[in-house]
Amino acid sequence: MTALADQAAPVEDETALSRRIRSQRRSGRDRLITAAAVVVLLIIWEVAARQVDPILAAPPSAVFTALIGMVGDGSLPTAVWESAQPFLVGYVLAIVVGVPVGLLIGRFRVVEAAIGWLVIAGYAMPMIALTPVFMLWFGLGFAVKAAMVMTMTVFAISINTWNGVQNVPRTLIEVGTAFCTSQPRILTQIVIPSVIPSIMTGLRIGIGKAVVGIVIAEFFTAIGGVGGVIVDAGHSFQPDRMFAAVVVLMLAAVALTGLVGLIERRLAPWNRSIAGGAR
Amino acid sequence: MSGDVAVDVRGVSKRFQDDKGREVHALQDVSFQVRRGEIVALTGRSGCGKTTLLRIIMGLEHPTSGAVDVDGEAVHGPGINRGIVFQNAELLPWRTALGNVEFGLEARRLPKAQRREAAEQAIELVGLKDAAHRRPHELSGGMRQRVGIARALAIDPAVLLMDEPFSALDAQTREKMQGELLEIHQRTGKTIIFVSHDIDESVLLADRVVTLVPDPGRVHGLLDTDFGASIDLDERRGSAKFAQRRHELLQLVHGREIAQQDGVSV
Repeated sequence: MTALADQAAPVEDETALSRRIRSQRRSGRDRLITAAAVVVLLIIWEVAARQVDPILAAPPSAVFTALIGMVGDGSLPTAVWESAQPFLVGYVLAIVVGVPVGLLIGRFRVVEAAIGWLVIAGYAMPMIALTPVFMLWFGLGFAVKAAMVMTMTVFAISINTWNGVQNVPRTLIEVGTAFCTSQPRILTQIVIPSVIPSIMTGLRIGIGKAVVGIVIAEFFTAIGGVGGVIVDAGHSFQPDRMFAAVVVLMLAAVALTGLVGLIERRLAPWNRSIAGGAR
Repeated sequence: MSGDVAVDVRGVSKRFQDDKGREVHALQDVSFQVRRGEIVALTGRSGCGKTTLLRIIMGLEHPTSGAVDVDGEAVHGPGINRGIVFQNAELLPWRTALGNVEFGLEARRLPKAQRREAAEQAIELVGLKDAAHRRPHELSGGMRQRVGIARALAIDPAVLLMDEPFSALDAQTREKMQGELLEIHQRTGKTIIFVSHDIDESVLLADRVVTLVPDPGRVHGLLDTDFGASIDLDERRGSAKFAQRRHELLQLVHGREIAQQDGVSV
């Protein structure tokens, strides 16, 4: 029997290896296509922006120059730091509140009946509608930014966690039962690890939500941070500075989402929807 | 009951209501015994209640009436005297092959070192020593099912219960696994009960085949395969006896009476 298994193993390894090589080759090609698309877009933007009044638009070259200037005079790092603090506080609060709430709703029907609707409503609601009342409650400083970020993010995290608990494979729970595993161990060894990928999905989606939250807060309440730079530049007809700030926001959102994805792969390498990627 | 009966199923009936509130009579008065060290297949057309019967022996479902004894003890729920192999292995994706085998042992409260040793032995028994630290998504279907078998064997159960253990595998892997199961049986001497809808597989692997017919699920006949000591599957497949047993089993599965031949009792 051992001999049979030994014969089989290399064959199986080979297919796994060739699959990996093929997917690497494909992802290399994909990256090339993405890079080419970025270049094409920049060229179109450059050419088009040069045709219009510089008060209305700025070509990428001007945006890049503005970006360097804003980093050089320290205005951009200050703005980023000003935005990053309430962003982080709000995001972490959303995790601390959203994950347990999602676990409870998913695990207990009573909790689901009591507050499930609230989470769904909160997720669906345009948060910007709450801005005036948030200003009344939290004033115009740090607190209102953190509160907006948290409110934007917490529902996405809760819903995904909730969904994850509901999708814990029943067959795996049955494995626990069949092997006489205690209820607490079924929870820690089977339910919670099964939910981790869903929680991470919530955190990934939450990043995008949180970025929207911080920008709304900085636009309408406390003018400051990167959002403040955008508003100021817009009002003073400096599209190059405005686009520079927008690009910084975009890059930050992409980088943070990538970071969460990276953590996700470390925490849940078995989750094929991430590890496998698009086919 | 004499000491060489491993599993005693007595008058087991199971009724339940389906989604539409209709009464389903899944099993009616099912009785049979499995001797220690025997391999028994439960087979029949779909809806005959073979999986329900196995789940009752597992302790994952309770009979409406009747009783099951395993190793002389009444079954009231899952127990560590039964090792269970699921159709799709059902491994924990976040654990390595070895970790999955250890999972089955964790309910037994063994010291950690002893647990690790038992798990390593079981992994070796199914020929996965080199893949012990891989996670399920890095294993092929056949390897995953071997881990499932190792997990069940590691707790050293009196009976190994398998629910269509090879049906999710491709034909080649299935054949290989069937041979390995007989080798494992020869080495460990475990009593094995498996569910299969595959006539060939039932005849090929089992010492005895319990055939069930549906509406309501009941035992229609028992077939002794009587292949003797050789566990060479190619030899078994090529023998005249295999063709004959296969024919007899088909008759039984379709609810026909067959002539009382050697080894057949209806």
